[in-house]
This record gives sequence, structure tokens and C-alpha cells, in this order.
Amino acid sequence: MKRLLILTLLFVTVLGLSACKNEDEGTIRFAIWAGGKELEEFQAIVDVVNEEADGEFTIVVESIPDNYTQKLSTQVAGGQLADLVWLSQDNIYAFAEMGALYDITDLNAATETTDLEASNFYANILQTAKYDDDLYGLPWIANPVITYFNQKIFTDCGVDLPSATGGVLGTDWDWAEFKDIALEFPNGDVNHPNVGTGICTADTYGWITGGWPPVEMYLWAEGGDVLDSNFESAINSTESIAGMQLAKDLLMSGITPDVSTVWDQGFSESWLNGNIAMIMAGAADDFELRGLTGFTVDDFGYGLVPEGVDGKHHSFNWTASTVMSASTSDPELAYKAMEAMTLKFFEWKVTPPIKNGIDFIDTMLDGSKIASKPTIMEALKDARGGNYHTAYNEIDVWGFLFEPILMDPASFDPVSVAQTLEDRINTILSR
Amino acid sequence: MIKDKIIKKIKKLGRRDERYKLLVHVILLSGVFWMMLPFIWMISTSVKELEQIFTTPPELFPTSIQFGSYKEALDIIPMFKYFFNTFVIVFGRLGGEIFVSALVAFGFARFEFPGKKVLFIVLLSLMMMPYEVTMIPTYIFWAKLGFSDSYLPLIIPSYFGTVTFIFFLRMYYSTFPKALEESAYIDGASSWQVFWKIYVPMSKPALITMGLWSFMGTWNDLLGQLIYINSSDKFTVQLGLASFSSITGGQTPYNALMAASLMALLPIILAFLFAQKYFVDGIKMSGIKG
Repeated sequence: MKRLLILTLLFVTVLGLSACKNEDEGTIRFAIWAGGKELEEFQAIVDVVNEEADGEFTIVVESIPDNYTQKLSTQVAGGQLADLVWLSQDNIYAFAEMGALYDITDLNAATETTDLEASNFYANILQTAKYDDDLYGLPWIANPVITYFNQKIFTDCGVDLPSATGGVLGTDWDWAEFKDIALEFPNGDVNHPNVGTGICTADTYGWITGGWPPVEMYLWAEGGDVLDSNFESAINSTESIAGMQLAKDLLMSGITPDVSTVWDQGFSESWLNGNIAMIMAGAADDFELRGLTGFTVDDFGYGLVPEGVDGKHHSFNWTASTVMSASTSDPELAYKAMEAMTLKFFEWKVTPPIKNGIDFIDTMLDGSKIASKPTIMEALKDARGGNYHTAYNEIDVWGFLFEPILMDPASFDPVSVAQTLEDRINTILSR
Repeated sequence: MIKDKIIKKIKKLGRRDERYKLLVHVILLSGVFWMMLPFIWMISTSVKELEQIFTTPPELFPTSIQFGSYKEALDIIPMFKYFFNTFVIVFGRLGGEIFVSALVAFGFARFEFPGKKVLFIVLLSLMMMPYEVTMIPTYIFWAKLGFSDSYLPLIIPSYFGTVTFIFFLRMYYSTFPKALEESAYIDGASSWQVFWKIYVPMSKPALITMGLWSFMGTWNDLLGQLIYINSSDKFTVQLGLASFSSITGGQTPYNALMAASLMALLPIILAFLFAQKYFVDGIKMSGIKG
């Protein structure tokens, strides 16, 4: 019996201790959400950077494949946050506010790498890495919403594409023109003159939405927002109400399949059926490369989202940044590693969020997707994220605003919803 | 005449009994089908082409069977390495969890000592506390000891017993006749010998059931392993499965995910099959229900 006990304890101790980590000086822990193949790609980048660092620092990867922010919050509580961490735009404010992040404003101001100077990032994108005007991260990826056009459907349904400039479709179209074009498709009308021509059927729709792009994009188009840049409610403004009305009108016009069908089938899966003329989605989401049966990549075109009342194409942009832990032992060394990694990320993922991203993008884009380059670069100019206050998720823009529009646009009343939502926002912000 | 009537009546009753049995079986089979549907769906999805997974209306059976997703799953994550890592935690916990829980339960069931009731109530109250409540303080504790990114925080606590197991084993041991241990004591046995030579062998089905519960609990635990393990070379099966959906802006390969999930299920299914007899006996005796 004693032998068994000793053996068990020995087994546990040896295995457990063998799994303990012994960190050397110069070790930079880097927490990311990537897993599987993407983790392998990331590790390959880390290997290169570590080699180039020539012993000055060694990056060690920590993958968090699930419950990402929950684990980060736990690590913050335990003083164990990794030196460098990937954070998406909607989480930076919250982590900076709780004092978990290191202010890299000065380190960035002293950078010798032109590509990484603050002025070289798109201002709207860099803004998502700021808290109280101080910089807390370096954005490494942008994914602005662009419009993908299924040109084969346009041809067979006898609809003209919007005008193009420099290979970019819809450079001067607005939401009214967009709706008019989408209305020219059958959208369920069996009597449409082109039904039966090629792939044009009664089930061919001009557009598709099931909650994407996000509702903020319609608010921005009309000059409104959920929170303004001072993080106060802007939802009850005339502009925001006009934005809600825009979303409502689009939903009621019949240019998109029934939302419940889209939800049942899935947004991108609905697109795979090959009967949607236009879809607004992230430039890096590769909606033209998803293997639609009977189509080649040349059947697709790329364009901007329609412009808003101020003449700008307010595209929603998803961005992630690399931030630094406030508890990192050597901020300068960690920043050096952050810069080295960020430069590699620019060569890895579409799209680098910097003004000279075009220098990197050629090497990344699949040869068949190269035609999207001018559109992506043009879209980035006015692309932006929300004003992500810590309480942004709690406001629940989806549940209190967008879902009611999607579920029942006819009975959606922008004025009363704006008032209700503003009361809710003020209650949350006043805590 | 009467005899014929009786035979007729019995036959009629027999037919009614058969109809009743048939009805019961139909109901049970439909229940089995609904219980099995997610499992069938998982197998079916694992051999479907990606495009067929989200068709409307949904299709249960694949139009063409492909096994490439199994290879893809093994390409995406080092499954066998994650199997090994998970087994380290599973077996690391198993001995402590079962042995210590049984020992503590024996103490509560068979010894009288001051504060026993209070201690047992404290123990019961721990059962009511969800893991999420203790997660952060426990993490801080292990982090301060320098044990983050190791299996120790996942294994060591099991050597202090598991409240649920202690509770059920205590109830189970309370049903043992006192005469058993009294005769052993008369023969000169120590308390340890009574525990080891009488209680443990007699509670084998219950202990095996606890072992299976421990195995399944550890095998399926995601949150605990996620919180403590940082390096991907120490990942477990559950963390590996989670990796499938953590691709930046990418699409989850659901057929490969289902293939990996199926592979991850195999040890549990095998363990259950091998220990099925004890498992059912243990459930009957200890009163545990899933």
C-alpha cells in the first residue's frame, strides 16, 4: 500500500514539475487567440523574429483558443498577463481602464521604424488602440467591409453595375442608388423579365443581410452613432434616427431574402447558394474564393460600401492590436519585440492598417484576389470601428436596436427606440 | 368449453401484452433516436463535404462520403500529443481523487469526533459553490506559487478529495453493517486494515463509478485547463478542439471539428463499455444519477 502511495505521489510530482516553466531573462510571453494551423503560422513568424533578435529577446507563444478575454482577465487578477497580448478593438478600452495595459505613447514616439509611426496608421484605426488619447497598442490587422459583386448575376438579370473608378466599383454611389440597383433584381418576383435567363431566377436577390454589416454603419452613414467620441450617448440624435430609418427602409424594400431564412441557413452559407448579387463583408473574408459552384473568381467584382451624407464611405472595420501588459518587467524590450512582430504581421494578414499597406499587400493577396487591392486600399480611408467604451457590450446594440429592426422592420419605430436606448445608455454610463 | 374460453382469454391477453410491449418499444426507440441524434449528426457531419453541412433544409446523411476531414483534423491539431497530455492529467487526478475521497468518506461514516457534523455541513456547502466563484482566487493562489502553465494546479487539488465523491461515498459507507468492521476489530485489525481490506473491496463498483465520473469530468473539462495551461505543447484534447474555432476572421472547418470531436469521444466510450457493469451497479448503489 505504502509503495502504491509513494509511486502515485512521485508520478504526480514528476509530471507536474516537468510541466512547470522556467522563464529566462529576455523571455517575452505573447498571448494570442490563434489555434490550429494559424498557430503554426504564428509560431513560424515567432521563430524568424527570435532568430533575428539574436538572443536579445525570445518570444514564447501562449495560445488561448477559447474564452479569450475571460482568461486574460483572470491572468490580470493573478498578475500573470503575458507581456504582449492580442486584443480586438472592442476590448482595449476596458483593459486600459482597469490598468492592465502599458501606455506605449512615448515608446512609439521614439520609434525608428517609419512604418510604425503613429502618423503612418489610418487615424480611425489607430483610435481604437487609444484610451484617454494615450496609445496602448499597435494595430496589426484591418478588415474593412467592402461590397462583393456577383457580376454574372448582374449580367444575367440585366442590371448595370454601379460606376467604377480605377477598378473600384461604387466610388460615388450612395445608399439610395444602392437600393435602386438592388431593386432591379427579381427579389422573389417570378414575373421579372430576366427570370430564366442564365442563372437569374425568381430567388435571385439584390443583397443579403442577416445582421451584417453591423447597424452602426447605417448610423454613421447618416452622421449618427451609438456613443460620440466623448463616450456620451448619440443614439437619440436626428442623425442616428435617420440611420435607423435607413436600415429599416432597406430591410422593408425586399432586396434581401427573409432574415429568418438567412439566420437558419447562415449568412455566408446563403451566399454560397449563388443567388445573391451583392454582399457587404470584410475584405479579408474572401467571399469570392469560397468555392461557389459554377463561378470563377473573375465573376466577382469589388467595390466600396455606399457613401453617407458627408460623402464618405463609412465602412465598418474590424481591427486588432498588440498591446503590452502593465506588469511587463522590461517595457522597452517588450516594445522592441512588439515592433518586430507587428512588421511581420503586416506581411502575414490582409490588411495592414497602415497608409503604405500597399507595399505589403501584393505579396499576401492570392493571385486571384489581386483585383481587390484598389478597393481595399480605398475602403481603409474612411473605415472605422465604434467608440468602444467599457460599457459598449453591456449597451447591447444588437439586442436593443438591430435585432428589432431585422425581426420586424415594419413595426420598428426609430424615434421611440432611440429614446429607450438613450435612457438605457445613460443609466449604464452613469454607474 | 370452459377450457377453450380460458385459452382464448389468455391468447387475447397475450396479444394485448405484445401490443403493449410493441408500443413501449416504439416509444423507447424514438427516445433512443432523439438521444442519439446529436451523435449521429456528429458522425454524419464528419464525413460530409463542407458545403453540405449548412444546406437548407438540413440533410442528415451525406450525399458523398469523405474521410479527408479526419486527416485534416489531425493536420490542424496534434491530436495524439493532446491525448497523451490529457491522460497525464486524468491519471494524475484519478488515484488521488478516488483514494482520498474514499478515505475521507470512511472517516465521516465510521468515526465519531468533535465537530464532525459541522465539518460535514461545511463540506456540503462547498458542493453548492460553483467553480466560477473560486476560479480567480484559486488561480491567484497557484500563480503565486509559480505553478501557472503546469498541470499541478489541475492535479494537486484532487489529492484533497472531491466533495461530491466524499458525500456519496459517505452515504454509501453508512449503509454497511457495523458488524463487519466490529468482527474485524475483534480479530485484531486496525482501522486502516478495515478500510483497505473490507471497505475498499466492498465498494469496488462505487469506486469504479467515481473513477469513471472523474475520468469523464477531467477529460471534458475546458475552463480549468484553459485557465492554467498557456503553452500549446501542453494543450489537452478539449483545448485542441477549441482551437478549431479560434482562427482570425476564418471559417471553422466543421467537418474536421466533428471528426476531431468523435476521436476525442472514443476514450470515454471505451472506458464506459469496459466498466459498464460496474458503472450501472455503482449508480444503483450510490444513488448517483447523471
